[in-house]
Amino acid sequence: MNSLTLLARTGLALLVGATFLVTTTSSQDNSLGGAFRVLMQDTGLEGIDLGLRAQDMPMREPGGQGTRGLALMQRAEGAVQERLYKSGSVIVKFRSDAGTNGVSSAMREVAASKISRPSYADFDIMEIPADADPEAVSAELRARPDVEYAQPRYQNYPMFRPNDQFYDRQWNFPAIDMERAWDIQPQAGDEITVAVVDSGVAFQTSTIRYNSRFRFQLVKDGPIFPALGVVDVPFAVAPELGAGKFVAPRDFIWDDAMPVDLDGHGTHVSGTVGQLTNNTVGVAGMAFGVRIMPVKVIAGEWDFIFGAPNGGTDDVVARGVRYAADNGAKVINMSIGRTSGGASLVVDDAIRYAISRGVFVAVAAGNSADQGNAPSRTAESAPSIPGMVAVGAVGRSLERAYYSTTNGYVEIAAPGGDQRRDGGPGGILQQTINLDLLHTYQRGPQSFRAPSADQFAYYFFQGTSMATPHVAAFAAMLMQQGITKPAAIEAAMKQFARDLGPAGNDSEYGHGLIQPRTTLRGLGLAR
Amino acid sequence: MQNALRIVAVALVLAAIPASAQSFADGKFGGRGFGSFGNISFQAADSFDAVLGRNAGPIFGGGGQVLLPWGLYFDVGAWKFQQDGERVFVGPDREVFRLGIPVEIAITPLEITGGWRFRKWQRFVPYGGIGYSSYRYKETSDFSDPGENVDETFTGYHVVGGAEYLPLRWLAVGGEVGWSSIEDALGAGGASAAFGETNLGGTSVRLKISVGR
Repeated sequence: MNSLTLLARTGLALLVGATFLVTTTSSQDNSLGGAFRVLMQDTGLEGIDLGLRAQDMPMREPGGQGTRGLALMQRAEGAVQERLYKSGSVIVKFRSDAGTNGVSSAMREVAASKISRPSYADFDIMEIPADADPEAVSAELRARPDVEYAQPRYQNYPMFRPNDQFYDRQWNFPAIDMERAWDIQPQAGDEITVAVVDSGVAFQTSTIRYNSRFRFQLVKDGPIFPALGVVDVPFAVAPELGAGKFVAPRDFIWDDAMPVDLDGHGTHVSGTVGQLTNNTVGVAGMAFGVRIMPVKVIAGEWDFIFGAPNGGTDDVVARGVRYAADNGAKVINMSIGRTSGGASLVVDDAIRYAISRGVFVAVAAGNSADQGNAPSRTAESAPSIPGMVAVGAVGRSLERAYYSTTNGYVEIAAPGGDQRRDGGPGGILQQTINLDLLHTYQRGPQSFRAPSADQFAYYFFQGTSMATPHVAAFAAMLMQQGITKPAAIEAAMKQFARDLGPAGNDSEYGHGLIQPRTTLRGLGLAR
Repeated sequence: MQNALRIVAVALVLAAIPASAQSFADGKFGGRGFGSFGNISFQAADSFDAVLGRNAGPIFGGGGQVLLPWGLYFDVGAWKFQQDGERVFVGPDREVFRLGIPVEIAITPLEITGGWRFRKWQRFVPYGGIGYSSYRYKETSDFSDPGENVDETFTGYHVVGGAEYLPLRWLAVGGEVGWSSIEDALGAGGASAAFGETNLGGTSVRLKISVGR
């Protein structure tokens, strides 16, 4: 993986522009005409799902707690709780020949005070001393020849576990107890729209004609890639997102309503927010009931190659944020940012505007911890804006991911993956566009050809970009549960967060790891 | 709860003993049982209001009373408050967001009271007392692990004042106002922690009907 792809995959796509050099010296290239894109066909074949892709991230320093180990440990902890029973009584079924004397004898033996039979049952509920161990009492009763069976009144719980094919590779959801959160809210945010302000989303099936009219270099002094001329690029809806999920798409890179994804980042992020779930296919999403508003404010490499009129500048990002707020989004996911330059005042202003319209905003904290730890200018205002949360990343061991920027503005942590510690599967698995067919420039000028965005596969990505959609999806679920104000959502997330690292709020994990289940459950009167 | 009921039952038996077969008002030995119903307003008003949608609610109960010479009396009574509500989140400005998750609150106090009856009139007897309170507090929610529900007992004290009217020698109808303080029963978690309310007690108004001699 070259550095360009790593940047794109770690959510700092804005930086790509800085390393992307376009040459405009060829008159032959210019003869092809100006930059344009035209919708040639708004139908097409359904997207092709190519399944799980081999890991392209080197597995370095494997270690930490494995996904399966963590999941099993957590389920085991849950099992300890779920073994609990209603104290003060047991279930007992006497044999038909037990008789009154047998029942009385059994009651005396275990110091039972009362026995009664529910109208629906062929067994009895025997009341025993409140401090007696129901399991021991049951065992004592079972030893009697006149007892057919006896057992504690074990407590049962709903148990939702998605049946998606690769769910067992999604360590990120068990790590935050999502299965029990889904028990509380099985509709998972179906009244909420989440705007994914990103590189676009694979949201429509179509063919779009572009004009590749420049030769270019990806890096200074690197090989020169030829202009491709007019090309037709096929797109398809990501099969695991489904066409019915999208509302009010908008592209501020091309200034139209076709925010197709020519990068793969936004589609992956959207999957974590709201991938189709429990459909036996692929992977699960967190708030799988939500509608997704694709808002494109980040230009991928192909957008540059095709001469898009706008790049992912602060004003474009701000425009996307305001658009989302004005068009029905209740949550905005911003897995984007920049570390260069000064404060992003215009974006801050747009975020304040969105929050004033009741929109919660989740922003990636940045991926610079191992590269100088420069702050993300897009996220650094979060502590001073209630309703905006800057999200750091943890790996599956629940330790801060090596790249996750540490800074006082980090407010909360969520799974973002740590492939350095845990290898490729230590990332966040979601479906996105087949990168082999999309990023053809990575194979060098000889193999460079037009992309296609109608085939899909499942990839492990890592980054605070991947952590942020967990928080956005979480916010959508909280909003549906009844916490309707952005500042209150932020407060709830912080109040119930699992403190990690140094006690209290810290620059690595903020207030800690999100806890959807306990937050959705909220407060009783005394507990 | 079982212990409370046992104590009430014993009190009722004691009350039924015709110790001296004297009337309620003549100031000699006597015993009787009573039933009561009324309303309680809790001190933790914001917390109850958040979770139950109100900070007061109906109560009902009963007990037994022993009347002693010189106007003294002792009684043991229990009552119950039970309401359904929903779990909440209390926001930064103490704004309450209801989450739609059912929660049931049940409070069962056992009260032992000693006091003085003012026997100035034949059929009208004002009284006042003070006593020990034991409140069993149960909070049960959907989607809870057993350890997340609450079933605990807290103690405190109460004072009561009231008056009763005796239309018959064996029947009294009275009104009573009670105030209880059960400190530190709340406030460690839940909405009560958000509101900083720690006292489970409250002010009750009860109608009491007593039967006995």
